[in-house]
Amino acid sequence: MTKTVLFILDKIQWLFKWLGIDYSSLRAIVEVKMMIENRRAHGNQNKQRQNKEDNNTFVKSLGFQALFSFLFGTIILSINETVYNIYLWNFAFIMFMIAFNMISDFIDVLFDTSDNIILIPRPIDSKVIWMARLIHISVFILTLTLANSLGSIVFTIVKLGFLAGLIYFLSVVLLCIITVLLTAILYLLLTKIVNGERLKDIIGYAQIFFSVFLMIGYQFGSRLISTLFLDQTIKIKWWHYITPPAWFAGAMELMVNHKFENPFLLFVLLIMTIPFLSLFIMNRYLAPLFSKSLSEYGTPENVKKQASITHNTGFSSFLSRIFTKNLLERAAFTFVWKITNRDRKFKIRAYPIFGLQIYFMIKIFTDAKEQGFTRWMVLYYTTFCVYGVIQQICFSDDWKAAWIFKNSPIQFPGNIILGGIKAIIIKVAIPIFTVVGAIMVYKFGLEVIDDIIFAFVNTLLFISAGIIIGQFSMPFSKDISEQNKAGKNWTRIIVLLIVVPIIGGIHYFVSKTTYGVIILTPLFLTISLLLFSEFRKITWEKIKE
Amino acid sequence: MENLTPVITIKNLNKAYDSTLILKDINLNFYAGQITGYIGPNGAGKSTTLKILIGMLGDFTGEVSVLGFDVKTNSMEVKKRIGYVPENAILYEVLTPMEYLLFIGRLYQLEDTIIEKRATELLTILGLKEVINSRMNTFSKGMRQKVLLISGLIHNPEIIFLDEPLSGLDANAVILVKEILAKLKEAGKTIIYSSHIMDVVEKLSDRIIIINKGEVVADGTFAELKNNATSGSLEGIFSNLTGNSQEDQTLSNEFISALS
Repeated sequence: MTKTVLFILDKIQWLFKWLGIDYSSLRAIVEVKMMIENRRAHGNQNKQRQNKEDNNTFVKSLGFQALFSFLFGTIILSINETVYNIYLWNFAFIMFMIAFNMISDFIDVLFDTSDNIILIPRPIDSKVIWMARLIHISVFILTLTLANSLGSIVFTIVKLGFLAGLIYFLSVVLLCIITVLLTAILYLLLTKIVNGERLKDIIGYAQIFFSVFLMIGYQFGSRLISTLFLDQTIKIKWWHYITPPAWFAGAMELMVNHKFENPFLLFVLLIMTIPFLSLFIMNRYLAPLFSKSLSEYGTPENVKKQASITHNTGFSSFLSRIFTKNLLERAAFTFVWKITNRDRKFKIRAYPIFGLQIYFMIKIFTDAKEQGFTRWMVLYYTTFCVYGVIQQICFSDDWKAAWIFKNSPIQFPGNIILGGIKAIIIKVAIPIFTVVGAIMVYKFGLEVIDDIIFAFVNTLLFISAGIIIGQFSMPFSKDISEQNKAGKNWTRIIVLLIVVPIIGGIHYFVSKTTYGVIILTPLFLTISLLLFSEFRKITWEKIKE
Repeated sequence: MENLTPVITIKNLNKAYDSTLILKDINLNFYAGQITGYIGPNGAGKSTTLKILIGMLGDFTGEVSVLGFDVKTNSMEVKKRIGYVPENAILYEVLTPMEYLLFIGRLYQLEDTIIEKRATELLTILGLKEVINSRMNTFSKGMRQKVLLISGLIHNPEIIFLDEPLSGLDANAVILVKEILAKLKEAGKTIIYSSHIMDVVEKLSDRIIIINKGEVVADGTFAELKNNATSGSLEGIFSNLTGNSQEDQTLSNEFISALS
């Protein structure tokens, strides 16, 4: 791979010279970056186990995306539409996936600070570092994108012939480059407006947004496509001129059906010029912003920290005094509360699952006939989400710092675990049930309040029943990569997928009786409170490393 | 000494993060062929000064020129002529020392053959011959520090900046590095380094600059510093200027009593 990349770079040297970038330094940096990446991938030396796993996840994600691309690609075969309309949506999807991959996996590479200390003191322009990073990212994004479009390439060849397939392939490569450039420009502009920490927050929220969007997109996608493909005519809207997928769809239309006319010619012209134009603008006017952010990241951190500490200490400790019974619990409550507030990666892991909730909410208002069922789905999907968040509190990037628990004289670590669970219940479960409840009351009237409360109590019961499993982890004590290991996690998810619907079913039948909910609510609440107090008795033997 | 032209001049240097001043009106000249120890407590502004001198930080006020080049407007020319060895042994661990040095050398536009020759010789001298082609993730901190030292010198710079160059090195390596620094000085190189180890600074430096809270509080040879101070050791002088030995006494007492 390294050689291929360097070969291609050597061939397009003129481009970098045109941009005024020192090619020999650029080549040296890219070569080393690719070498490092390859070693991570084919690690055969000792203690490379973890890196190997990283690589496996990349290959797995490649395989999964390639497989999915065939499912998605069948649309090309199955739908009888104009070339332009089919490929407009096809390219839109691919562009979305490129942006998604870029934001979720590669934005870290763009703003990686780990080698600043190596590179910045050397006589190289920050433009070179920036370009090297862009190339590094592009290589991987391109690999992923080709996996993403594999099915579409194959089906395009089947339906429209080899030449069309080739044009499609080239379009995907160019689309990928344009998307990477546009995303990079967007980020550079953001660095101008906001500082480093704030930017990372924004990226975090963008990641959550993209995941949520993808989740909802899967649900609505098929319906969307079937409603859009009706008339078999090409309608060019004004916004097509500013959306890259439309340009490439236009290029496909032009090449396949030989429509050498406007607007398709204009679209091809845009494809030819925009990459160079954006490259030039980025390099000339925006790359200097990167050097500003570089030196900002390079500065000692002690000064910045002073600014972001304090405030909001009062609220969580106020809540902890109400909801916890002893000092250990209180300590864990504020500990988990604050870390979940600040740890971006926690937010990215924990919160996207709430995305489907939005889908259910929309369904409540749109599907009149399914309302009975959807009502239970909404409530118990909330249970599912809350449980998912609680599962996440044992993971952290700083899991090594958890040695402190073992070195402290904690007799019953269960207090720590219970404090953490309480923090999530107060912070996540109660607000989300309140919001969901309020929307349901708005839609169905006050009569659903008892159902909402019962569902909340059932959630507590379900969480407290975790005591039966008999194996626990301290908060933020496990490496995230462990989470991906198959096995235990799956059994847990399956149990969850069976048990939660059963609870929902019980709720459904109980709600048919006159007094069922009113009697069972306090009963279940008492049981769950008793179970929660059992947590305090958890000993060290039951704590998993 | 004063009639020579300085290789580095710092005039009215001020540097602030947000609204706190890290460096307050620093004025210094450095001359060729001197070893200068730049010392001060944590957070005094040592690393910030070094980073400004090597062109890593641009947003300061005042005039700083290195070898006649303004570090703000001409940082590229400055970077070509200086070497920097950072404190934390951060390098690309999955590379071998040879690959790493080859990479760094290329960034200075050196020919591969020259880099390879120098790297082999220097690594051999520092006792890393056997591991020239093994990946650095298995290296100890001292071994990494040696590779870093070479990476800062491979382009034969005129001025060398070292941030805590001796941290993590074993006793023999400390002696060797001290010898190398002395030899570099003989060869006419200018060396500026920061350190916490006072007796090393005392013995190694032609000139000692003590900085505290962003201000230069002492500047001169060890003998000169001693004349102006009551204490006989650099440690004593340092403590007098940057902390307060009286206060240290009470602080340590308070520390003990706070525990009981």
